[in-house]
Amino acid sequence: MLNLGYCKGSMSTASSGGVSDQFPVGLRVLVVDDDPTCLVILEKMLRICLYEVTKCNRAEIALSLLRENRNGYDIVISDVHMPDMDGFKLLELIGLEMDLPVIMMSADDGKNVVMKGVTHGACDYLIKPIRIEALKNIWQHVVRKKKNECKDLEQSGSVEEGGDRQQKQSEDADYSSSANEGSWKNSKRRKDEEEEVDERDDTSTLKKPRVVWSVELHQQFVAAVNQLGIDKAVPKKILELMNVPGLTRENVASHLQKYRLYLRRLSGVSQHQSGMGNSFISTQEATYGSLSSLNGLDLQTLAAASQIPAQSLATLQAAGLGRSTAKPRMPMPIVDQRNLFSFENPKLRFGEGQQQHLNNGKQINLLHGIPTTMEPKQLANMHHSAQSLGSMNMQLNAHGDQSGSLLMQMSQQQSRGQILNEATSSQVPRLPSSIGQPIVNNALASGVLARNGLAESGRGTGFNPVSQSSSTMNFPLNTTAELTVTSFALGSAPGVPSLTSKGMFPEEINSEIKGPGGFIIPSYDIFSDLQHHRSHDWELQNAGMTFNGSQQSNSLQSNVDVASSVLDHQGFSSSQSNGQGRNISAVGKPMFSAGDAADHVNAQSLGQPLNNFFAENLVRVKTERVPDASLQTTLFNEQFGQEDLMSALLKQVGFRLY
Amino acid sequence: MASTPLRQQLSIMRQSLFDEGLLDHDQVSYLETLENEDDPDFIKNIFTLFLRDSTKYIDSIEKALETSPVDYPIMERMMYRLKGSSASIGASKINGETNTLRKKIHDGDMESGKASLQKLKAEHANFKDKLVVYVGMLKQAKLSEY
Repeated sequence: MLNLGYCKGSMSTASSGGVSDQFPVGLRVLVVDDDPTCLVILEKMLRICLYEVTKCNRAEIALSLLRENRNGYDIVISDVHMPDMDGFKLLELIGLEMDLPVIMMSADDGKNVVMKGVTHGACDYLIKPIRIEALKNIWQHVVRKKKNECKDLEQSGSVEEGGDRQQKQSEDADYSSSANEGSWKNSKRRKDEEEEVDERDDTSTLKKPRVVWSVELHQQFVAAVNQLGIDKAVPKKILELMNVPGLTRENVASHLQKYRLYLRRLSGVSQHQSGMGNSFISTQEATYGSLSSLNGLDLQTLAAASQIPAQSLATLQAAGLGRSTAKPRMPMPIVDQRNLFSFENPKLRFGEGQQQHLNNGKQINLLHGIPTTMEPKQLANMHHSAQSLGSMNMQLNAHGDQSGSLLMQMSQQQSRGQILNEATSSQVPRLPSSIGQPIVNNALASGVLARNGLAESGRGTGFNPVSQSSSTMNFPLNTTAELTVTSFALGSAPGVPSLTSKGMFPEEINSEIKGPGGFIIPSYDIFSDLQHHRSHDWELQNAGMTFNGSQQSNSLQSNVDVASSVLDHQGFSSSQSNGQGRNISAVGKPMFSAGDAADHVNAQSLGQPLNNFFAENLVRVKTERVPDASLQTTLFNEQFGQEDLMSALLKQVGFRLY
Repeated sequence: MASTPLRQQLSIMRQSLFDEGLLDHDQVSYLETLENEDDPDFIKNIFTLFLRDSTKYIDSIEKALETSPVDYPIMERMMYRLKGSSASIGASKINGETNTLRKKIHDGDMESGKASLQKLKAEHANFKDKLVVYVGMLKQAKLSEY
C-alpha cells in the first residue's frame, strides 16, 4: 500500500503541501465535529498551530473527503458522537481505508469511552474543552505512523533493493526529525524522494503513493491469503499468487498487515462478545454481517458446515427472505444449526476455516442467488470487506474449496464494521444466530445505527428495527448500500446530489460483480427505520445534510472503484457536473430494478415508498447537482468543502507522491 | 488600548459575567488569547454560534423528553453537544446544569430530569440575555476602534 517513496513523501510535505521545511507546519488536519462552536474553536487553534485545517460536521462527509483525496490529509481529529456515524466506526474505517492516524475527542471523560478509543485504534483521546497545547503535538502521531509503516515494509523485505536503502534513509530521517523539526531532514528526504521516484518508475508501474485496493484486487488478495493459509501467507507468496502487474510486495505487505489486524480484532472481539471460546462462534460472529446479507442464514450455514445440503440452504434462504417479522425466530434455528455445525466442523476456526470445503456446486449457486446482499453492505461499509465479498462470489465458482473460507473472510471483514456498531449498541447483532438482525452490517449499520443514536444511547432502540429491515434488504447489490442509507437518512433532498455523481460506479460494479438491481435497495431498510428519527435529525442537521449526502455517495462509490478509476474519482469533485449527468441515469435504473427485486425479498417492504422517495431524490439530485458549492456551505461560512475538494484535487494531481 | 467608556463598560460586564459564574474566567481568557488581528471576531463568533445552537439543543431536548416514548438518542446527542460546546466556551452554569440533566436522564429519573431541564432552560435564558448584550458591546467596541 505504501510506495517506498511514500514514507519520505509523507514527511516531506514539500511535494504535497509546500511547507515541509517547517514541519509540522502545514500538517493537513481534518477535524470532524457536529457542534459548530467546537468546530470553530478547534479550527482556530489548529490554524494557530499553522496546520492546514479542513473541518466538517458529519462523519460521512469526512469519509468522502478522505476517500476522494486519499493523500490529502495527514491526520484526522474526530468527535466520538456524531449523528450519522459512530466516531469509533469512523475511526476504524479510516484506519482500514486510509490508514491515517485518528485522534478522538469527546466531552465525556468516562474511562469506558476513552478505553474504546484505545481499543479501536485511536492514537490519542482529547477531552473537551480542548486546549491548544493538546493540539500542538499531534504531528507526532503522523510521524510515528509513517515510521512504523516504513519499518514494516522494510522488514517484510523489498523487491527493490534501492528502495530499501532509501527507505532506511528516510526512516533515519524520521527518527531525528521527531527530535528536531529539522529542515535538513526534509531537504534530504526530498532529494531521496526524487531519486526514489525515478527508481520506482523503472521498477514499478505504480506511481501513486497508495495503492487503491479495488474490489477485484482485494478479492485476489483474499483468495491468495486463503490459499496460503492466513498464518502462512507472506507478502511475497501472496504477490506471486495474485500476479497483478505493478503491484509491489510492499503494497501487499502493508495491506496484509492491516488485514491481519482486522481479522485479529474480529476474532478477539467476537469471542469477547459471545462469551464463548468457540472459535467457530467467533467466526460466525465475524461473519454475522455478511450472514445477514445472505439472510444471515445462508452464510452461516455455508460457513458453518461444508456439508450443508443445498436444500437446507435453499430453505434457509427462503426463510431468510421471508423473514421480515420472523427475525426473532430466525436466530433460534441458526443457533442450533450453528452448534451442530461447530461440532461437525471444528475446522471452522478462524485460521483454519479458510480451508473449509463447502458444497461448492449447490452452495455456490445459492450464494449467487443472494450474494449481492452482501456486497452492498460490505462495499459500503468497508473497502476491504466489500472486495472480499465480491471475491467470494466470484471465486465461488473458481475455487470451490475456498468458498467457505471466503465467505467467512468476507463476513469477518464485514463484521468488523459491525463490531463497532455492536460495541456501541446492544448486543443483539453480535450473536451469529441473530444473523437476520445483524444489521445492516456495513452500510446500514454505520448509517442507520448511528442515526438511531446507537453510539450515544447504547440502548439499541433504534437498532433492532434497523437491522430487521436492513437485513432483508441487504441482498441487492453492492456498494452503495451504505451510501444509500446514509444519504437517505439524512435527507432527504439535498444530500442526494452527490449520489448521482457516484452513481456511475454502482453500475460498473454491478456488471462486474453481480448483477442487477440497484444499490438503492439498502436504503429502504434504513429509511424505514430512520423514519421516526428523521424529523429530529433533519431539523437540526439540515444544513449539514446536503453536503453530507453528496459526499457520502462519493465516498462510497470510490470504495468500489476499480483501481484504474480511482484517479478519476479523486478528481471527481472538480468534474461533478459531467459525471453526474451520467450517473443519475445509471443510478436511476438500478433503483427501480432493485425495488422490484426487493419487493419479494423484503417482507417488510418499505420498498415502494422508499423507492419513490429515492427516485424523487435522485431526480432532485440531478437538478441540484451543479450548485454543489452552495450545498456545501450550509453550516459554515467558508466553503470549505469546495475549497478543500479543489485543493485536494490539485494536490492529487500535482503531488502524487503524497 | 485606550480605556474608553465603552471599553470600561465592556470590562465591567465581562467581570460580572465571571462573578455571576455564567462564564468561566480561565476558559474565556484563554479563548481571548486565541483571537488576533487576523480574526478579530473570533470571540463574538463563537459566542453567537453557541447562543444559536444551544437554543436549538435545548429545544430539541425538551421536545425529545416530551415525546412518548422519550426519544433517548436525540436527547443524548443534544445533551452531549451542549455539554461539549458549553465547556468549550466556558459557559459554566449551563455546563453544570447539562451535566446534572444528563445524570438524571441516565439514571432513568424522568421526573427529576424534567425539573432539571426547566432549570437548565432558565439558566440558559438568563445566560443568553446577558451574553447577547455582551456580544453587542463587543461589536460596538470593535466598531469604535475603526
